[in-house]
Order: sequence, then C-alpha cells, then structure tokens
Amino acid sequence: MLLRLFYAFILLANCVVNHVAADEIKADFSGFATLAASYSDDPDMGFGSNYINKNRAGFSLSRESILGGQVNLSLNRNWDSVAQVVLQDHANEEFDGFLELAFLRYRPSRDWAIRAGRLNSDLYLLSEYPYVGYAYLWARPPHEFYSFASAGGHFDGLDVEYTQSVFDGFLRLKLAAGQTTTKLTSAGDKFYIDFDNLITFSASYSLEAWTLRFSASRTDIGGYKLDSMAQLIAAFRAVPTSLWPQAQSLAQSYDTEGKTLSYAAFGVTYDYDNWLIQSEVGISESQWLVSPSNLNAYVSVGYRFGDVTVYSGVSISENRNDVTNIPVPQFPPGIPEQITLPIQQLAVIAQDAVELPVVHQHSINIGAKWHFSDTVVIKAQIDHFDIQPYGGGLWSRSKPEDVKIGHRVNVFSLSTSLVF
Amino acid sequence: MKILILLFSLLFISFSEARSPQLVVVVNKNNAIEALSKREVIDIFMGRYLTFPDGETAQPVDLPAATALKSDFYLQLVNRDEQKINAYWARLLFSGRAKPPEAATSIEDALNKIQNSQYSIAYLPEDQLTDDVKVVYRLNEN
Repeated sequence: MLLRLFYAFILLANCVVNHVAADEIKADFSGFATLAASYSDDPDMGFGSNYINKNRAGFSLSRESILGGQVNLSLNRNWDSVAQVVLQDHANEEFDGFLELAFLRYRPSRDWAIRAGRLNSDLYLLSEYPYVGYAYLWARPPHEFYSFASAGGHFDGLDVEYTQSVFDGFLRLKLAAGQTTTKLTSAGDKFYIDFDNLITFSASYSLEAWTLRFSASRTDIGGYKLDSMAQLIAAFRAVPTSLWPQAQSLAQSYDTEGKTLSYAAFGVTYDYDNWLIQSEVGISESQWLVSPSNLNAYVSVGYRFGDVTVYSGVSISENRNDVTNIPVPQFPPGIPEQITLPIQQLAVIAQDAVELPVVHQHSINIGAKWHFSDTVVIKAQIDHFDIQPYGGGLWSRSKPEDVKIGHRVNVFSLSTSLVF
Repeated sequence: MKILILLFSLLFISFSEARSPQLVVVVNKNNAIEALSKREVIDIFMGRYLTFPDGETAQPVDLPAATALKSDFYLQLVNRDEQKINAYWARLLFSGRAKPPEAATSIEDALNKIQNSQYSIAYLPEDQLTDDVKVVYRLNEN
C-alpha cells in the first residue's frame, strides 16, 4: 500500500515537473565537510564515529572525516526537491548507503509539507543533521545515543509535516512511514537488515531559548542477509528437540520473522546568551536477539567565551535485559561424540553471538569549539569511555576474550568543520 | 560639572544611536502586505514559513555577513548573534528543511532586490529608506 502511494506521488510529481516552466526552476549547491584527526588509545578496541562506519584502533584521519554535498532544486512555489550525498568511513561502501537525501516535497499550504523519496529519520534532536559538524557543539554527536541510531539514519518513504505558531512558540508535528535496508559488515561479511513498515511520529516545540522534542518509532524487522547467521539458524533447526530442547527457541530468537523494534525519545535544548545545555533520553525495545534493547541518555553543558565555547558532558547506554545465557548441553552416556560435540560447539558459538552485540557503556567528554570564521569551526575533544563486561557492542574487539571483560578507552579528536 | 555630565550624556546617546540605527523591515511597494508582527517577521527570517501570511512566497534578503547591521537585526529580533544564526541555518539547510535568506552585498543591493521583486523582504536602517519600498515592521515593536 505504502509503496503504491509512493509511486503515485512520484508519478504526480513527474507530471508537475513536466509542466514547470524552465525559468521557474532554480538550483542551489552547498556542502559541508569535516577533516578530523583522532586517536583511540586501546589497540584491542576499534572505535567508529557511528554504527555504520569502520571501527579503527589507534590514530586515524578517516574515522571522523566527512564530505557532504547537497543540491536544492526549487521547481515552483509548491514543489521543491533536495538531494544530499555524504561520504564517510562506511564499513559497507555501496553507493546507496552514502545517499542521505533524495526527496520531492509538496507544500499544499504554508502549514503543511509532504515529502517522498529518501528521507532523513527524525528520531532525535540531531537526527536530521548528524554529519554537519559545523552545526553542533561536539566532535561527534554523543556516541552512546547516536551511534546505533545511525543504522536507521535515513529511510525510503513518505512523511507529512504540520507546523503552527502556538503561544509565541513554534510547533512541528511529523508523521513518517517507509522502509530501509541497513548495510553493515560483520567479521568482514556484508550484512543487510531490512526494516519494514517503519512508522515514526515526532513533535518539537521551540520557544525562545527552549526546544523540547518527543519522538516514537516502530518498525518490523524484515529479511536479513548474513551467511554466518543463516548458517547458525540452520544449525539450530537441524538439532533434534529431544537432544537439545533450547535449540528451536534459539533459532526463533535469531530469526527476524515477526520481530519488531521500537524507540521513544525525549530531548530538551536550552540555548540562551552564552549557555548551551542539551539533554536527551531514549529507550529502545527489540524482540530480536541480535539488536540490543537499551536505555540511552546524555547531558551536555557548554559555555561561550567570545569565539570559543567550552563544553563537557556525560553519556550512558545501559543494556536493559540480562545477557541471554546458553548453557552447553550435557548428554547421557551412550550418545556418540560425533553428535554431541558439534552441538556443544554450536552452543558456545551461539553464546558468543549473543554477547557480541550487547551495548553497555558510559562516557565523559570535555572539549572546545572555536568559531574560526563565519564558515569554519575548529574543535578539540577528549572522551573517556567506560565499557562494561559484555557491553562493547559499539566497538570491534581484536581478541574474543575482550567481549567478557571491561575496558577503559580514551579517544582524542582534533577537527575542523566547514560549510560552503 | 552638570554641563559636563550633560555633554557626556548627549555624546553617549549620539554614539549609541550611531552604532545602532533604527532598523525597519521593508517589502516591495506592490506587495499586498501592509504590516507584519514580530512573530511573522521571525517566521520568515528564521525559515519557519516560506510564505507571507497571505500565502505568497517570501524571499528574505540578508545584509552582508559580519556587519553590525546584520548582527543588530538578529539580536533585536531573536536575541541570537551571528554565530548562532549561522549554526541555525546550517541545521535547517542540511536537514533539507529550508534555505537561508539570499545575501545582499550592500544596502543598495538589498534595496535593488526589493525594488525588482514583489515578494522580497529585507531589513534596512530607517535613514536609508527610499520611496520604492514599504515599511512593514519596525524593530523593537511587537
């Protein structure tokens, strides 16, 4: 249904474009970039600026560097279009993943806007511009809050926005629907996950120094493509229930069929005079074993001295569920080892696979942003991450035993961001 | 002594006025809009709405960057300096929501844009007004 609506909209838009006089069309090109040098001081823990980018240990120039280009096309007074490509250190380098925006917008009146195409998710305060370093305070959006959100940073579908002035403030309400395929890698293999029937509602209200924001989102987890996971599920299903009763329920837990993922978030910004204070709280609930259910939050406080703003903040991402325990099955004597040993090895692999994606970490950061010119800012930031045992799901670990132990990692970042 | 204080006060007032001339928001003479409220001016210059209240497309024009007039305008309108305004527009532009006002190269250029486009809207010092434009809002009014 949604797809048909989408195609109908595109068809209608095509008719409109064909009837727009050439002199009404106006194109504007713009862009943004960040050149960042960063260093992560634990050689066993690879750090990435977000969930869809490569994790790297040590010094890197590519980890947080970004180049974005955008074209705004004004077609006539009611129709316009925006396309945006963002080049960054993606683990999966297919072009489709770099296309952040490609939508057509229709404004039937001054209060309403309807968009169709590739859209940015409007889940959190920074969700619409997480890669525009010039526009926010930090070296990167708070890792605990925004890293996993990048997996659903854009989607293909429709959204409808209503805006209205209310009590001297400004209210925005948005309802979005669509689907997306997140492109990741897992142990070097390409990993695709479909998120279908994605529905997001968001509301924000701005009044002078204050901005309040609420959003809620729900999606069906659709198909996936990852050979190692398909093999794991097939192996579970092949085990007779009489030998290992837990195997069938584990196969079901790993499979995406019938699983949903839900988010809700609340955020507030206070931006007055020299103070910039921002905080968000978010909660996710996943029925899929591979995707963590978390409580995420951060608070950041900045104070400006002329052209330099100094800031500090704390962030948390708490795993909301106990890590699933998969005991190695024991068998009565008499069953051949050729049967029992593979099943016991399967249980060990399954336990590792359960522990790997769990996210449970805290961090504190301190930094400074210098407005070098109208279009250029320079930032320096130090983050100290406290990663709990079985909680490093946002990091890559070079040794299997690193999953089970806690880590403390410092990340140093020096960057310049500009708009053009 | 009193004369000295009076002279100093007059000098200070003159100096203040020289730094912050009365700013007015103007449109083309043929625009149907006769007056705007402060909130309606904010709606247009902060990209909340892309049209005038009557539904016609609004084309806001900014004075050159890093000038006292542009800085004064946004401080008086929304109590934000140019650093904050620039960051604000980066957020709106790259989230795909709106484009920033067109930048004029000078007051004369802003006046030309208003004269040449029925739907342009700009801010100017009151003493630079010409007969070709219409004042729809005075800063510091409600």
